[in-house]
Amino acid sequence: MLEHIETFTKRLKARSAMLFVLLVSILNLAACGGSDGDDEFREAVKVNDLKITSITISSPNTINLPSIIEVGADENFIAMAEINSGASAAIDISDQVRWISSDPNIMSINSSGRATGIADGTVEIRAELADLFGSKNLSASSAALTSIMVSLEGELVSIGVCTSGQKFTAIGTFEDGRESDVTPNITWRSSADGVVDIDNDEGSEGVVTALTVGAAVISAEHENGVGSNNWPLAVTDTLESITVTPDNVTINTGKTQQFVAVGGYSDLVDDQDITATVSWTSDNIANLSVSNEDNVEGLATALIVGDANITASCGDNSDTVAVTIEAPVTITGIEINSGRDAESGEVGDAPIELVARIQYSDNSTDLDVTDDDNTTWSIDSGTSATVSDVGVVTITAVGSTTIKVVYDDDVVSHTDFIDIDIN
Amino acid sequence: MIKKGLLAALLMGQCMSSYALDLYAGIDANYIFSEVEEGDARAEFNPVALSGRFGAYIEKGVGIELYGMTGTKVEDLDIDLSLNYMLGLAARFESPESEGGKIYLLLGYGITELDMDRSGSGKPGSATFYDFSYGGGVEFRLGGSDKLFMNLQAIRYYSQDGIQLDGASLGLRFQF
Repeated sequence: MLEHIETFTKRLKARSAMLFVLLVSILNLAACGGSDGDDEFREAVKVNDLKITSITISSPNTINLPSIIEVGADENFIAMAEINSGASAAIDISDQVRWISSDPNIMSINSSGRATGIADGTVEIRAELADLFGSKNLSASSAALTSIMVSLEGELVSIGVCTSGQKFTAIGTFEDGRESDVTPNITWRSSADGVVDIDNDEGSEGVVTALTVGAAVISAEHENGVGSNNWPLAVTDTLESITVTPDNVTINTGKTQQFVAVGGYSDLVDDQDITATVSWTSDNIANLSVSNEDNVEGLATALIVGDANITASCGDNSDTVAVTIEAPVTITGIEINSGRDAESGEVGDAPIELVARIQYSDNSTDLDVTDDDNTTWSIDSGTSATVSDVGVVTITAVGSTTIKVVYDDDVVSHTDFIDIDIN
Repeated sequence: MIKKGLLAALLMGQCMSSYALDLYAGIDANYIFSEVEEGDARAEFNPVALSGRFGAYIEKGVGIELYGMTGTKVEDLDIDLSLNYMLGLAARFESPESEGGKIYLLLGYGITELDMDRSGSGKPGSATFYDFSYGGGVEFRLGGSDKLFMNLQAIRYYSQDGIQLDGASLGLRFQF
């Protein structure tokens, strides 16, 4: 008997070891979960889903794709996907492709498609997604910039006061004879920046804004000291009208309202949005302020209840709109059954349907919130009746029960009570 | 990873060699649910596959089995997907038999190779997926036989980063 027990114990111990080895092995392997090559699977699914038929490389800044980049200079490229989902269209997939340079020692390209010239030579850059790719041969050149020619779109020599958006372009000539758009790579200057402002911010380099009637000279300079030609630009008084919208608007205190100014010009067919270039004023800044700050021009903020006028002006032209500032409408209370204190009934009567309504500060029509999600019905005291989630009272015994209703919309909370007297 | 697999197999082989083990083998017809997600894009592929397994009970109701699988090519829009192979090692835990039936759980580790071909370009090609696998099934004696069983089984083979591989199978298992 003892022999049998001993044999069984040994066997159990040995098999336990084997089970232990098995489980440890599996858990050990389980920590190695992963994959090889699945990123390209995902890309293929994306290409299929978007119905991409081809990829091309283009430039976000210029129509003509540059073929030479100066050593040390950067150039942005974008990858456009031709898609076929019934009708052909192109979408920007620059942030989804893999950007590759055939020789990063000559020209590098980062994951956003920004290429940097490193050394003289030619490379192929590719934008790859699954089995599709767009490619472009690019040369890096250390030839120096020798001159810059600036010009305004449409060869304009005058622009209307308060207009904005016209863009200067700079073409650079290099010592190897090539010409290239250097608009984003130079510093733009205005001889009278109170008359004409010219932008050097990324993405809007060379864009001018006509501030007042007058004259200015636009020029540019490269960091290596090469200067451009001068481009005289007159700001003329061709603005004939300003229209501000909206008019006669009401704003609650603490709220904002964006006003828009549109200018009519004698030398332009289409009206221009001049919100950003006009001067905004409020005749009652204690009640209503209006901004002239960059990117929020014409944004009014209601401060105190009252009236104010907002004016947009440019040169001799202006337009004024009236604004009424009111206190925001608030909930002032809640009433059960129009403010009754009690309802009565007898055992055996049909259920009593209570109605809860909220009142507003502007005395507008009360709102029935009996079964609103923000309304809670409960028993405050007593046991002679029950109340449902929608204010239906069921009589259960003789006595008095107080029903409580609470309206809470996370901003305000209002409560009312009603007694139910059962005879 | 492969070294770890070999080491595990070797360790188990050494343990198992000391005993007279009950062996079994099986064959299964599989329907694979595979899904690839990338952002808003999503594709599903459902190849059918044939698998075989060979195992041994190391204790009553506890077995170790090796399985292999290969499948067909399926298409979703312009993508062809093939299940080249799946190989794995699993522990099998069975419930006591009741009225000729039992349930079992499988816990293991497997490697799967899929081949994707978009628009006949041959790309992106093959990718391998290795992960912990788990699942289970029900098994019934076939025609009162004491050696032949029929089973229905569901297993999750891989689930990571928007890619999932699941399988449902109908199979036969023969206990030697």
